[in-house]
Amino acid sequence: MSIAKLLNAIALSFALVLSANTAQASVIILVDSGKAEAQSVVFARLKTEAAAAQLKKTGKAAPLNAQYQEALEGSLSEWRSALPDAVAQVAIANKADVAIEPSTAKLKGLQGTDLTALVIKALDVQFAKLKFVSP
Amino acid sequence: MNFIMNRISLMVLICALHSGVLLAQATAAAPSAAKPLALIVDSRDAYERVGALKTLFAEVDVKIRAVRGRYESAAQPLQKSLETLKNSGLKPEDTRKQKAQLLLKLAELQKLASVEQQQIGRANEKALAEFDQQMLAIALELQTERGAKAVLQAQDLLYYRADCPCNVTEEIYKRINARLPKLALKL
Repeated sequence: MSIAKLLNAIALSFALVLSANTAQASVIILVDSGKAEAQSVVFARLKTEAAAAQLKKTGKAAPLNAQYQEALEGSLSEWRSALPDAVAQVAIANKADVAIEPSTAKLKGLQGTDLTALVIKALDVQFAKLKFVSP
Repeated sequence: MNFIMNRISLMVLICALHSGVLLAQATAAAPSAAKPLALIVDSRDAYERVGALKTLFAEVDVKIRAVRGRYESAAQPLQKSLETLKNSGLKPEDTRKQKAQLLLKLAELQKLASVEQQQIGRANEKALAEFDQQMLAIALELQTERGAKAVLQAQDLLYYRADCPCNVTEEIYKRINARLPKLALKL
């Protein structure tokens, strides 16, 4: 039996090598940037901070006036501009050839693993200390 | 002895079955290695890499400059006359008619130049459409050749691995340069 186990183990490792080789052909990952913004903890926190800052200044939390909206966009833009790098890092870590929006993938009839959550996590860790700057 | 022989036969059978499954997996997976799911085209530097585009833009540039040159050389004496009238010391009512005529001529020249520029623009668009058509045809050709599911434009992607064998940009440039050595600017 131990010989059978050994042979099985050899066969299994052979299978793993095979799948690793084929995985490099064209690995597609999906990243939904809209969903990333919607589900980011940092994004949500900055919005809350902006509302709180406006409330403190004007007595009204919502809707944000143009000045506060602009300040919020300024803070969010740091997160947004780091998105391409975060996508690239996640793609490289997962040995992906291509990272694409799910909508584009659907349009082209392609499928891939959705790694949006990993991108959100990477960005939220990177910008954990990012604060809303009042106008 | 029989028992041992049976066990060995069973093991050989298990191994054979396992290898069979593996072989099936390998042959099923192999096409995806040879045939990537998608091909990538990054044509952002096409203006520099495709000879026909380079010569087209050079031609457009020459034509636009020629139109501008013709306009300027025709407009210059009129502008000079306007300036002379302005500094002539004559009363404005005495020069009004002449000024109006000169301004009208200048406007006509400008309109003519603008029409010519639009014609060049349209001819350029037509040539570019021909180029796009060729690019698309080559992309589809490569898609079929390599059994890919789709051709993706780099600008539609969030990321792509620069050294990915699925990047067919160079091959597309090679084929388009061979098939479309020149784009005609049909005015």
